[in-house]
Amino acid sequence: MHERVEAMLIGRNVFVLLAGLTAIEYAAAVSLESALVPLLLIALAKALLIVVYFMHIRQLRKDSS
Amino acid sequence: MTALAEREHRSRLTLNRFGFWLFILSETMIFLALLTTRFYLTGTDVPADADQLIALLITSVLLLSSGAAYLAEVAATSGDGTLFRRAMLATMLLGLAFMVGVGFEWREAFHAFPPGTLYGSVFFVMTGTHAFHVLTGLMFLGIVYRKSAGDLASNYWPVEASVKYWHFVDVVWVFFYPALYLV
Repeated sequence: MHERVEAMLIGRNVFVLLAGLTAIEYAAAVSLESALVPLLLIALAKALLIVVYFMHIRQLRKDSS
Repeated sequence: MTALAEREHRSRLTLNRFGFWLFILSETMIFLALLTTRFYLTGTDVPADADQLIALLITSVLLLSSGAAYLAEVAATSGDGTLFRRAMLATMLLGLAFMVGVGFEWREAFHAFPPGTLYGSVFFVMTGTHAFHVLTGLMFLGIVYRKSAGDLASNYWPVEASVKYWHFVDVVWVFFYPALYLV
């Protein structure tokens, strides 16, 4: 039960972060003249959050050990 | 479950996961090729006609569906069948809403930058390939929903795989959205 609550909290926090980054991404695109680098960095951060927390890539290392 | 059966189950799960990540890696190559093609052929400009509102809306819908898929996986891990079914249904409905949004976007894009133009061809190939993956992801989720709804414990890997695939579709959109609408 404790693990489930913890997983739910992680999911909620990651979701809020992703939503916030999407909002920042949009704001950067409409306000900056050249937003290529900030947009790339934000996209990388969002992808990393999903791959680590939603897709559990760290399971691979745990499994192999 | 005996210790031997437990070990066998673990080892099977590990192999499944490795195989799955190899598959994801190969899929990543396809999408990376499309992404670099977009910048190579059309530079960093986005046509003024690109519909920012629909793009932001479908991005939010896909993000919400990813959250629902995560919830479904947590429910499956803890054996909560009711929450699992609800979260899976929400994921699929949001996925369908994304597809409808892409349909609307395509209808506008056909007039704004037809497939015959350079940006149009890049746009339709990228969004089309991604939409095809969303469609297969929806089919995958639908099959898993049908098969796993009754017995979550013995169908955990299909749930994990379908949810991970769905998150991957979201990761692809994380890069396609700024590349096609925001840059």
